[in-house]
Amino acid sequence: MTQALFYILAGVIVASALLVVTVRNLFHCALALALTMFGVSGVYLYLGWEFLAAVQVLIYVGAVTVLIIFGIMLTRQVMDDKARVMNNQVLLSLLAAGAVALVLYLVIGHSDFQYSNHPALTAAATAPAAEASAYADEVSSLAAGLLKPQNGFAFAFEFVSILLLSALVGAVVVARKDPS
Amino acid sequence: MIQHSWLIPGMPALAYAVIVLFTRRFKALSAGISILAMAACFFLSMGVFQELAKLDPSARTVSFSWTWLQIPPWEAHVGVLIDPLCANMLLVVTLVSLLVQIYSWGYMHDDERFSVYFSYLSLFSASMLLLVVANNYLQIFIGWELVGLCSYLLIGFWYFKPEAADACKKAFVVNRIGDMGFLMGVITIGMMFQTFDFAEVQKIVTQGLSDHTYSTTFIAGIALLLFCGAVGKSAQFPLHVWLPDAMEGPTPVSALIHAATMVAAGVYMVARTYTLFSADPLSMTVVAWVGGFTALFAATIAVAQDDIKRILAYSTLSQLGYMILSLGAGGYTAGMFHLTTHACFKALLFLGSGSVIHGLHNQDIWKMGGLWRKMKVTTLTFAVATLAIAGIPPFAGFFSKDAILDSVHNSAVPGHCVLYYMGVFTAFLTAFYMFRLFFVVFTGEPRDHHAHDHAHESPLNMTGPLVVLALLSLCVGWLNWPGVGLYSQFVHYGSVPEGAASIGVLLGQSWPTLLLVVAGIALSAAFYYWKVFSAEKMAEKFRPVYLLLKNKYYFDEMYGWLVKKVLFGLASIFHWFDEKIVDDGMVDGTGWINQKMGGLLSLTQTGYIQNYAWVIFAAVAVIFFCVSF
Amino acid sequence: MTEVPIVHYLYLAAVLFVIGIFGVLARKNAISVLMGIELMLNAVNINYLAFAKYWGGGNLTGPVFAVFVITIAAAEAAVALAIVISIYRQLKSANVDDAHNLRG
Repeated sequence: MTQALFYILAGVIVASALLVVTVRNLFHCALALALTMFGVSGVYLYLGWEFLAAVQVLIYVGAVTVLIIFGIMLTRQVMDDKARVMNNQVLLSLLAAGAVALVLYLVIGHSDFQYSNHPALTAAATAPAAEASAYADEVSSLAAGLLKPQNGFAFAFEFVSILLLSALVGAVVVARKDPS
Repeated sequence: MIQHSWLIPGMPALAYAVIVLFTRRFKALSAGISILAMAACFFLSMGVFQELAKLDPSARTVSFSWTWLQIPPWEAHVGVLIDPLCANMLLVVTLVSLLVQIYSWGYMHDDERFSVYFSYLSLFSASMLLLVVANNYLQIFIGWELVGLCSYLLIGFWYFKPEAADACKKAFVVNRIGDMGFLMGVITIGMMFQTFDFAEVQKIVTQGLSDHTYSTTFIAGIALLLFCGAVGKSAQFPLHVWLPDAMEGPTPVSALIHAATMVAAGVYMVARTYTLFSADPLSMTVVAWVGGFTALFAATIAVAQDDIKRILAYSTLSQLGYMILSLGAGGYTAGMFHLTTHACFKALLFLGSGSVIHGLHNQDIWKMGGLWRKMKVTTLTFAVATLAIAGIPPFAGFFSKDAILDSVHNSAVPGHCVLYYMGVFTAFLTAFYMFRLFFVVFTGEPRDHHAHDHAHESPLNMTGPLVVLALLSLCVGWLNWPGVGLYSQFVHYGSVPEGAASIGVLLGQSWPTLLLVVAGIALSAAFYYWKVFSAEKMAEKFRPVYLLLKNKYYFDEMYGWLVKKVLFGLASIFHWFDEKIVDDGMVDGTGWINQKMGGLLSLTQTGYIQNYAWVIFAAVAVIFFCVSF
Repeated sequence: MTEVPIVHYLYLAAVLFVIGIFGVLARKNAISVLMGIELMLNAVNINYLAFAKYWGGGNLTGPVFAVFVITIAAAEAAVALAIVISIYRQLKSANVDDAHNLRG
């Protein structure tokens, strides 16, 4: 039963992702993107990463999608139904995407990422999303993973904060109207 | 002492660096450093000489070197080769340089670029000494070129005078023509013998000649290539034109160039590579005839010149011709001995003329006259030098010139009889024009009273060197006193010294020459002292000859014509080729092809970012397939 | 209760990634391109988390990287939208193929 849930989620994700890249109306695209992000957060939840699922919803659905919708509003192309949505390399793009798909298929097929080979099979026997009590543990362990010096990510973590700050300032500078 | 002989070129080079880098602002300090370095060199050379003289005559060759570059199969060395020839040159060069530098302190006292002048002098001496101590062809070439550079700097020292600027360019360009041959000779030696070392080349050549690996003509070819360099540097016909113009430099520089550092290099180089020259009669003949011709040719020009320094310049040409003639005729010792004595009296003549110019600020001999009343020391020393160059016994010139004529007389060179009489006649002309100069400048009545009133004897630091050189001009010849021949015991080619004739034989041989020289002096006195004949009338009577001599056989004009018509004509053909074929065809063609190819390739630069992104993903797929299958 | 094999997560991520590629390559509008990029980033995150769960054995590198990806994606979206707006002001268009000043 729970497996079926995954496949339903996967179907929703793929379908809405296809909508994102094909639908003519940009505003609808953005809504489909929000749906895709929901689906992805569902997959996270299904995998047992409750905190990251929440983060996914907060950032992607709550922030990025809204940001994109703002962008769409500001560029005022929402209602333009006559212009072509696709550029003139659609077929070539299909070809390239198909080639990459083939590459990925071959890679995954030839690898030994098989369920039976799962090295932590017994350890992970407890199904994802089965233990709700893991929630508190996940946050604290993630915090430890990020910030404990012996894990080696503390510097990168601090650096990301600088990156965010500079992106913030940079976005303002780039998008600001030229004073002249 | 000998193991420290690398310091001899090293110290003036250091002095140059110190002056240029640190003491340019301090005139006296710069001059002091330069003179001190030179004095140290002189004493070091004395030490080297002394130590060498103590050695057994067969062991008087000391050589050591450091590896500079290794380019298999060649090795470039920097080294020192001390043998009697080198020791002799070291003494001459350091002594004359030292005296010239002391003299310069007085002569150049008011010049603004006093320190620069002394730095150039130091570099000049350093280059010459580097050349003298060289133990391989590469090093001698480096010294050779440095000497050329310094002569350029010093002749053009007063570069704001257009004549000086032209003269230094001329000296440089004319020297370059000779140096081209020298360079080709050095390269040929490197290619054929795989070494540049004098001793090794000598060994290989001797060996190769005895077992007929190399033909004598081939060796003669190399020798003549090297001789091109000597012709340029020692100002032999037909590359003599730069030397008279080089008079535009400061007078002490002329003394240095003419006596010690520049023109002697050519003669020295021929002596140094004598193995190659003596291999074949052909090279010896060419050398002897070029020398003999130059000697006579320059002496005739000197008769009709008016500029005090130009007369001396042509006399240098003539004397250098003697040295080259002597080397070509097989008189190795005689040639080098004349170089030594000539260095003394020619330096003295130039420094004396410098003293006159310093007093009068004029170089035209027809504006001088009666200077002996004002300049006693200069006159006296100048007289000694004139007697020496004319070859009156017991002054130095007599012994060396006579040795040269003797060796030409006994030589096996084709036409040596003609060369001998050319040499004798040159001696006569030398006596004539030198005494003409002396009588016109120092005796009689002043011609330009204004200048004469201002004339004054030079300060002690100028007359001091004059006196020293005068003593040397008197005594140096005695080194090769007939029958004793200290000098020929010391400097000789091969293992057996050239014998020195006894005084009786010598006088028996040389009395005709001596008679001609006295006749020359008498004729000169008749024209210019007693004024029995009028020089003007003679000049009028033989006007074409006079004009020919006065204009130096129109050589400058001829070269000018050659350059203008022949060279520029050729150049315009090459220019056409360069412009049409090389520029328009090849250079522009290369550009055109690249432009068109670029145009084709630029089609890929669409400016559409999604095209670029497509290439990225397609490339990922393509690379994946390429790698995995 | 049987597990979903990890390969299926990978296939899901691959499909999402390829759809993203297509969006990036074929859409005219710059904001659509941006959305394609977001899809690709999410595909990557699915892989990270799936591997971390199944193969990680308690190692937290996967989720840590997912956190970094999310953070940087947010920053990138902000900057990219600022650029889009800036270009829109210049060209009066948000179409990627209208900005081709770098044509050779």
